[in-house]
Amino acid sequence: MAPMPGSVPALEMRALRMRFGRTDILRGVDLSLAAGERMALIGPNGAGKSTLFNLASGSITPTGGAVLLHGHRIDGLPPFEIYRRGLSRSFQITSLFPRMSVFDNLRCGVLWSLGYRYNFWKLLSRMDDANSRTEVLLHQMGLEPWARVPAMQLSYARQRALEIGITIAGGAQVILLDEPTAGMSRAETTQFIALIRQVTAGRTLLLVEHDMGVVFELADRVAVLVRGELLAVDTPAGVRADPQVRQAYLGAAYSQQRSP
Amino acid sequence: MPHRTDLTGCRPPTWPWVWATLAVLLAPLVFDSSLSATLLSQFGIAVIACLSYNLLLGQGGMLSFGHAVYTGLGAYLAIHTLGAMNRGVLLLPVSCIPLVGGLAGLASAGVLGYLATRKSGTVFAMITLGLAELVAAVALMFPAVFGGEAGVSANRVTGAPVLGIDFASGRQMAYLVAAYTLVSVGALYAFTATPLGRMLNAVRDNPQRAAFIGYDPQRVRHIAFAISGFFAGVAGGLAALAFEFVGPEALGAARSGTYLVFTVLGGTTFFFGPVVGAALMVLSQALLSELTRAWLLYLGLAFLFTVLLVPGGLAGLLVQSRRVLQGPWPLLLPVLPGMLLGGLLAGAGAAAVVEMVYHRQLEVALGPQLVFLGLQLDVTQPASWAGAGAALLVGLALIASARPAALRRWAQVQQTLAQAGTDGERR
Repeated sequence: MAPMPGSVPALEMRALRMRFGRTDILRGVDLSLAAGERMALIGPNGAGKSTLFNLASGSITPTGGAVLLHGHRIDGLPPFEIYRRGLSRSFQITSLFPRMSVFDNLRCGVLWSLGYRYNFWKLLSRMDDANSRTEVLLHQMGLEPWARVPAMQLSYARQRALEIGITIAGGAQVILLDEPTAGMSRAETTQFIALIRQVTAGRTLLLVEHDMGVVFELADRVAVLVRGELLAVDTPAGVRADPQVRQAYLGAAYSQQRSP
Repeated sequence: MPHRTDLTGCRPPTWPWVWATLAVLLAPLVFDSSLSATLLSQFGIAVIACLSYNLLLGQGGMLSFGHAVYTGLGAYLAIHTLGAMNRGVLLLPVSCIPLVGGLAGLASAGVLGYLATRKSGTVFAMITLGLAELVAAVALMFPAVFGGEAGVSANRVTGAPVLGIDFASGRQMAYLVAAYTLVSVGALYAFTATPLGRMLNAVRDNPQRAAFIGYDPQRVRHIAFAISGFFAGVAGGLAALAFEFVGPEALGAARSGTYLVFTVLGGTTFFFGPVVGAALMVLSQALLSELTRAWLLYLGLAFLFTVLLVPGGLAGLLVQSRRVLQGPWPLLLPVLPGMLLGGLLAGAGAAAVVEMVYHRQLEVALGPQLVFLGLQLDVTQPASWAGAGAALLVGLALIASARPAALRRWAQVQQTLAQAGTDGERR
């Protein structure tokens, strides 16, 4: 427990290093998110964004440094242990339970946090808390009409919504979103940002995103990762104005599409 | 409207359970010969075994090549318990013996399953195969426990009768099997609607994601494996009681293969598929094997046909046919006669060839003649071979000519069903 609100970062990375063979993917990253903060992680392809995400969520163990969730080390723990400590993530490549219904996909996301664990002596239909929470999620994500449809039969945009729905279902306080709007049309993206903003309200958010519109819309702060090192961590406006960042990452293409 | 409890967890209708219970209670009265009592017992045992197998395969995506280890060890502990009761060193109600088998299945699946469920997919399958071979080999090394090639026998009529029930008759035994089958089917069905049951589906579909919503996929698989082992052991215990004998084949790879084949034939994607599979198992082992010596060949062909063309198994086929019959079946009318006639002709022709080959190879002593579908065939006469070959070829030609139109119409049927499904219930 934090002695004072805000004194312990919700998520912190200290001198985080990752090396695959002879390649340094992350070269000592220090990053800290205050509770309730929304941070976007941007950077060119191969900068190490996905690696950083995987280190924080438990897919891989870092070569050096530490990851702390609410002040406690989580690096090296398996994904389910990290999830149980309050960090949940989404995937860039949609990762659902394809043969199960939308309702069941969401309900599975709810079960652990309600303490049902590996229960096999109680019927799901009698678990009112799980079912009503799933109904709320269905409503929030706009998936009610498809509740009984297998996830694999959903349209791509709805699968993305379900992906986020599963991620937030258990009420984790720290949410990691890996390119949530990847592959969506412009119109879908705009709607989707509003949805993400709404369902992650009050939680700590770290997202990887290539769409600069999404980044500047959603994030309080932006971290720029280039070749395994943090180039800048600043407000969207600050990052936008940073000449180093513009040169290293945003480049000419960004200056042209920059919105007023 | 068909109810699909696996989707949203709404309660299933209760009447199928009422009918099933009634059928189970009445069957031993209606079919009262000792043969039918034996068949009913075998059916109930096969139902529990196949359903417990499908907990792994259909619900958990775990392809086990060693399910007979758990039915077999259950059977061995049950027969030894029964033997101890025969010798008077143990006092226990005979009706509890299957539970002893269940505990043996639970314990062995708990230990061996811990190794197997560390992995999924191909590696899991390989581990179960290795463990099965290991257990079968170890069993032959300890003839004092497993009875060697001769097996172990005991007498189920032992101790004082409880309420006048001594299990001396096949019918009493059939009722005991029926009771265990009903309770087991109910429990296994209920399991699918519990958090662990649903997470088992989730781990089957996407173990990585399951880990990112708080569940340890290995743990989920392990607990499910142990539960499956328990019911397998119950089936084994019942078999030990019903036959009063357990031999080394009870642990063997062939038995494991039988569970796999008939569960797949019945259908792994539906809860009741393995029940259909169990019926097929008993019917083919008891009846088909009487009808023809080539029954294993037909079984193999049916298995291939199912895996390639009907992944939902017989249960899937039944559900599918029901949906087609409720709706767009007239679409198929123009192509149905051709396909049916072709299929029957080709099947009969192929079967005639198979029967003649078998007759030639195995039954020379009986003379060259055999009766097939009421026809007198002679394996020494070219005309018989030509007739069978012609039926096969004409049938295949008919299928080939009707096939393009049939495929087009089938696609239309699928489309109609999909459209009907979007606004109603669907899978």
